[in-house]
Amino acid sequence: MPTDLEILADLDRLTAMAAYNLFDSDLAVELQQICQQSAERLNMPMSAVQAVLDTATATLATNAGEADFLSAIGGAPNEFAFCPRVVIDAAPYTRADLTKDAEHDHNPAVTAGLIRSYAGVPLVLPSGHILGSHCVMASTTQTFTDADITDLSESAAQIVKTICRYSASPA
Amino acid sequence: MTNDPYHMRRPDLPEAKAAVERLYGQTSRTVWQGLLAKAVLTGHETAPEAVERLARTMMADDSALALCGRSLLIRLKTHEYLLAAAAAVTKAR
Repeated sequence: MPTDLEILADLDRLTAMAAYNLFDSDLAVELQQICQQSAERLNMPMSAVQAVLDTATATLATNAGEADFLSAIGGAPNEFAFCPRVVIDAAPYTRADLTKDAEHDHNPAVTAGLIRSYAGVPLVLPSGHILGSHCVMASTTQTFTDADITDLSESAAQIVKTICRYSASPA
Repeated sequence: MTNDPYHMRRPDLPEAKAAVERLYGQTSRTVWQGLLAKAVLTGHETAPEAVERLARTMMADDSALALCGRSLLIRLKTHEYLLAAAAAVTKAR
């Protein structure tokens, strides 16, 4: 059974991701609009599109543009990010209160009070590889419903469609 | 004051080399030597600037290597950010 790092650093997955211009500024603008929709629909203050790389998670867009702590650094090391769990488990991941979660209660974003609740769903490329996660976050506790995950998954499908228009080598 | 804020070690060239080895396995030696040559590094440097130069050299690639380079850069920037935050907290006390 592969380790978490082996899943995240898989050459096939990263090669599939590298086929897209993930850091294109026009793509970021399009993704930001989808993040805004998700934040509004789920009534959450923060929404993001995150590409989970081998040892860090890169922020492709947030609803706040570049005005939040995620965009300031461009992402976070995987040990301080929540989205890697979405890629590793290949499934939605929700946490109502990260301060009571042994995996995340030492996370600087949690201890600093920036993030307390999280819900993320996989971004699945046409190749079947999981690029990362579309997620919402809040600095307060939040319980997520099945309807929230369905809503987020619909936005995730829209995000993947958008990313696919930014192929690194157009046919 | 600790140099490993939140138990995060500063990324170094061995960490970068390990990422290349994970990615390319047996052929990683050639890739690593090519990267060092492009970045004009010996592989023994310890300054953060050397790690950043290597990360940016990796990012100039058009393959999975570029994503690993970006990972390295995010880790480096986060370490700098957390180090500054820890210093600010210490000073405030």
